Amino acid sequence: MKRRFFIQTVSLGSSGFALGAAVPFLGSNDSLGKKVVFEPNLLMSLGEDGIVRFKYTRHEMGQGSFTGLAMIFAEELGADWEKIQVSQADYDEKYGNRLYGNTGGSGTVRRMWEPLRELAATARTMLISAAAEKMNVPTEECFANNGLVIHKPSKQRVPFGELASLASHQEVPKTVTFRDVADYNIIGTPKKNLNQDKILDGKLQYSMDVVVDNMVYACIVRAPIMGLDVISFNAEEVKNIEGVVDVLQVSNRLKEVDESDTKTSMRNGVAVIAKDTWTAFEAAEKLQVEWTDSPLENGNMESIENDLAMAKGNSATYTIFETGDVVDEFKNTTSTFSRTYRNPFQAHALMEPMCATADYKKDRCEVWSSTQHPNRILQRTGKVVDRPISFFLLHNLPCGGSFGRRFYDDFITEAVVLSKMLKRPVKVVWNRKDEIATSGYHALQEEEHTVSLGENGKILGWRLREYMSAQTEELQWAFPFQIYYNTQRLQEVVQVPFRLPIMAWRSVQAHPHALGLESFVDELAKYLGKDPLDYRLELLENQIEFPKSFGEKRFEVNFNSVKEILVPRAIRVYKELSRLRNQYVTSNGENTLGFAGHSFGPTFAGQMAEISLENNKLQVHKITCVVDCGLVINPQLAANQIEGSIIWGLSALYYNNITLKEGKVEQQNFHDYKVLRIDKSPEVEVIFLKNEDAPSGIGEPGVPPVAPAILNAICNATGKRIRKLPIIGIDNLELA
Amino acid sequence: MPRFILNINDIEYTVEAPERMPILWVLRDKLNLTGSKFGCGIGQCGACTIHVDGTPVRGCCVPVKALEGKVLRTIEGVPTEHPVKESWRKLDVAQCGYCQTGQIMSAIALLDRKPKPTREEINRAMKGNICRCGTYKRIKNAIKEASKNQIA
Ligand code: FES
Ligand code: FES
Repeated sequence: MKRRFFIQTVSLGSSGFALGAAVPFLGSNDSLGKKVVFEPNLLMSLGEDGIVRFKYTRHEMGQGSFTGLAMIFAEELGADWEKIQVSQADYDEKYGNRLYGNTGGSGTVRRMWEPLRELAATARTMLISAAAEKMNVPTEECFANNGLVIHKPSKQRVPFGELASLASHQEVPKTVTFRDVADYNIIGTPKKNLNQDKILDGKLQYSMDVVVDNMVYACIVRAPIMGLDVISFNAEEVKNIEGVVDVLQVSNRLKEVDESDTKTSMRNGVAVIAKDTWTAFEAAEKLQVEWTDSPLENGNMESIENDLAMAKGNSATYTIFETGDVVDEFKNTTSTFSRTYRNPFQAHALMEPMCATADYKKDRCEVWSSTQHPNRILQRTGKVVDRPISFFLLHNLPCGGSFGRRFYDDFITEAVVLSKMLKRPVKVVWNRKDEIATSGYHALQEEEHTVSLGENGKILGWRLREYMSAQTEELQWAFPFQIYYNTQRLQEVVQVPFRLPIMAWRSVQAHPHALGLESFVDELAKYLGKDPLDYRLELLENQIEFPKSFGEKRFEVNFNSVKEILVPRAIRVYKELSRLRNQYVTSNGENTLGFAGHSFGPTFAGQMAEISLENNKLQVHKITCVVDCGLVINPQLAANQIEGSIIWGLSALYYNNITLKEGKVEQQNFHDYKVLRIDKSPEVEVIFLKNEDAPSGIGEPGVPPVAPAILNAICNATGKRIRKLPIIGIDNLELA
Repeated sequence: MPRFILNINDIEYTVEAPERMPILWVLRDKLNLTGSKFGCGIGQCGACTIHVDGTPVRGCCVPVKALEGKVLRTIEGVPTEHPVKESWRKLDVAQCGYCQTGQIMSAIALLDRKPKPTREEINRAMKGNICRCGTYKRIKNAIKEASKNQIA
């Protein structure tokens, strides 16, 4: 493997970034009143006690980057891991997008990798020159490791703490050299989730746990269909309930002040304000709201089926990309093979329902909540109350799962609007049924793959038509890379007018995409009489051309990186899966195997599912996941992410299904929106392929291959092909 | 409003609350013991699990009125060095952590009853606790680990 970071030197002036953020501040005090003498950038301070205080400027939702980013920083600084203290930074525009951008797309480590190392290397360089000055030796003879600066020839050493004051007087370097990966002693080692101890004692503070003096609690009855408005409600009756403080109508003003997307913003509704959460919940049950009429067509599943069926005959709304003339190929061949795959609407069902507390005062609004995208949320909420981002002080607390849901502003806007109305702190708590029934959803979508076949099964043209709503298209930022370019390709979108709000959901578009592509490749292989796993490698190793042009150029896809990074990774992953299969078949053999793989960003993950199926009873015994995600920062937490992703994928495969009746979501809670429980959780093994390329993300790549790998195994076991999620109940299929 | 005397983690608390208020909300909103979590409110997820006289119960479903004179234990009353917490720590079970206090309370109750649980017994005892982050594999392993390490 190529060593990409071997003595890599970067010029800090070019980006203007590290220098800007690296102005040393002298002698400020931190919140504990402790003297901080070296504060070389916005994220770090070093005290005379030798403790490195590091600020985490993203959102921790269980993905572990609170720990991971600190590891990257500590490694590059040459710090002692035991002497790192990490705290969550409140949102502040001063960090800029590069340091406090959104947390999503499995991109936190990937996007922070460069900036963190630049900042840490700058600080390290200054510590080294301070030490050289102190020991009166040349800088070049010193290096930093494990919280010490060491003079190589004499083996003299000075701990960081003793250098704090002197370091702050050093010149800020114009270039820095990154540490060699061979010297890493923090990155690549299993480090405990830094929140673990607090979690185990029930002491980690989530949004739900926030208490502010004089605060009241709100439960909101939201429009059951996005866009409906309140006509009337039984305010007096509900106000008389003991413990109820007020009953207030809340309206989404965003449309009036901003033309931009309101489909995922706050719904209109009626808020019950009470002295505690339970009273608010109970009183909200007594609330009777009359709503305006539904403007919706497509109010139930039958009409959605009809629309999908109609769309089949429509021409494409737009083309994503095209290489060569695929349509002509279809005209000229008699042999085509076509299959369609369906993903349903799915809810997030994150463990901690949404919650936000706001204290709106004349000159400032303080907010306690959890958000993946503070800048966007505050900007949009600010528009509603006509205030700039700087008006808000946002404490971005860790959350009980997000999976894309906390990218959106609705719950925070609600708290701010209510606190402004009531002139006191308000905590808005979502009940579970609010989260399941009045949210935004993973999109219902169909993927139709068609190939035209020539002699010996050679693919002459390959067309993918995606049937999705206009809003789903907006999520194409997570446009899943296509990796098979061994023929002319056409990918197009046909819009279908679903109106249910669509939101990002763990692995976003890669999920329906993998379901389609990875089931189809398997089916096609079988149709051609080939082994599906070998066939994937055959396709990958015989690429003929990568697209140069892009239909209407809606998306930025770097095909060079597909060719240079993704395809080689996919080949490595499938080769490893082949090896595992051979090993498995010789040692075991009674279960049936199925395979699938997919990319998410530059990460490629492939899976081998072992199942058995008797009398319609499915048992998934084990899933082995092979991952190439570049350098692994923390193998322990990275494995956790893949394990969790597999469980997520299984819930989606087996149960998750949001359905509509008269425009309203029919599901309410975990009894009718089932998720996987421990008794159905299979054995999971995670294998990371060794790779020293820059780290490329781990929170989502484990999800997309789950469904196709198991569906492929089911087909191998029974000959039956299921092309639609969720699968439990289809053809009387049950879980053993 | 009625007044209740509750024995929680060996401390006696006096609270005023509506008698139908579930103990979960008494703990969270009245006593600021927020380690027990709200996940569903209908006994489906286990995030609110506490012990009443040593038995695991779903705090969201038990009214405060039913708990006078009983011995309550919440996650805050389980020592940091408890073998179950230790094994959870060792296996780095928690991701977001939100479900984990409930998971731990269910696991402790299981091991108190069955120090050497079988796979089926683990599944049965833990089935009521949902983890959306998907930490089930580590939960199973941590229970086995704690089962090995507990003082017989
Ligand atoms: S909150 Fe009690 S079981 Fe879910
Ligand atoms: S650790 Fe997040 S829900 Fe269990």
